[in-house]
Amino acid sequence: LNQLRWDPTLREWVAYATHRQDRTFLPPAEYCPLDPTRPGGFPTEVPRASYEIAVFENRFPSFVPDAPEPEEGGSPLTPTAPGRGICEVVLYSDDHYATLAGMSERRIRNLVDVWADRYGELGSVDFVDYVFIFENKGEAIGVTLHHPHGQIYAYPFIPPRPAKELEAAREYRSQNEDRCLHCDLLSQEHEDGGRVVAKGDHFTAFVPFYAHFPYEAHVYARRCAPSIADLSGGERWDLARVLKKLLVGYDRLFGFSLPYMMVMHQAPTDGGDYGGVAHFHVEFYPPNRTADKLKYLAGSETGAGAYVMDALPEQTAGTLREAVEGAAS
Amino acid sequence: LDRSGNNRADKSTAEAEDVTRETGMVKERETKEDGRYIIFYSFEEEEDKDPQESSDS
Repeated sequence: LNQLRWDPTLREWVAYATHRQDRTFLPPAEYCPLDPTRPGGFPTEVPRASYEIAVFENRFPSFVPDAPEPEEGGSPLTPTAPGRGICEVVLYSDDHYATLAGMSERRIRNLVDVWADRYGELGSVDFVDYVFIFENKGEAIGVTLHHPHGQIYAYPFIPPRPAKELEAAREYRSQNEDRCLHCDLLSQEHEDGGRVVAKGDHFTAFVPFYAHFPYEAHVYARRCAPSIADLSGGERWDLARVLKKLLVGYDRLFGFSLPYMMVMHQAPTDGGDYGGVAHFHVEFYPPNRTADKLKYLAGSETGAGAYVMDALPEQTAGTLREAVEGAAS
Repeated sequence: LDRSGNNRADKSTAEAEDVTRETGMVKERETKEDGRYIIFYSFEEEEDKDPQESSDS
């Protein structure tokens, strides 16, 4: 079952995919379905003995391309719609124990090309309005498979958070002589400097002034590129370098492979004009506030949508920057 | 249209095929037994050197 139900109180779709209850849950390493199929071994999702990077359709998708019209018709107030979309799994490596932080800049650079390719291909499908590239890492985030991988959801709508961000950027642009909101935020971070964590030639990583997680970090393209597919070769290399620096810094700061959510915000693929509005960037939300304490999205955050933080971004950015710089020296 | 919205007639159902070869990236698409696709990406490293490595050397 894949269906959407409209929440008129928040004006957003909720997706239902009941078959996901049966998905594989933390199998032992020797039975990882994302490993290559070894000669004589059990068949995994990958019918080859080795691979560099692979992408396949999720076996337990939240959206499917041929979702039928829901049997529950809903009502004019609460309509339903087919859960139509595409869900892919992106395997970063055939090494079960690898992490993005531990990968070479070359491999991350290759991964950037794969992400860009998927953005272009999925975005060209007529019913796909938004290509959302993300990674959930670590059991604290709720991952069910440890093999290094990310996911892509090709949504039939622009999801609420990017939509809200795009709306803010469009309004800012209309009120500020066609200026890009994200370009101006980045300029502010550069001028202040206190929250900048890592800088490359084309990308900057920083803890935003308004971070919603203690060690949240954003990686912004310096140029106002709408999507990952618009990045030049040099920009893709630099994105790989800055991502690596940030991830190594995270692990060094906490002393273990840090769980996180990594998400990419970029231009929708609904055919609209997002020039000067969409500005490609990557956002990281690690759940840890210390090595052994997590930041929970509790009553205020979940029920009121109001985040309450117990550390200032300037403080966390300082310690994260030291870890990044220490790893580089 | 197939599951990804592309024309199924353009695709092989069993054997791998070279689909694109640009900037050193080779993309091979296969269809698995249950109908889902899998795409293998490989890279020819000489095609795209790190510009920082070039300028450093």
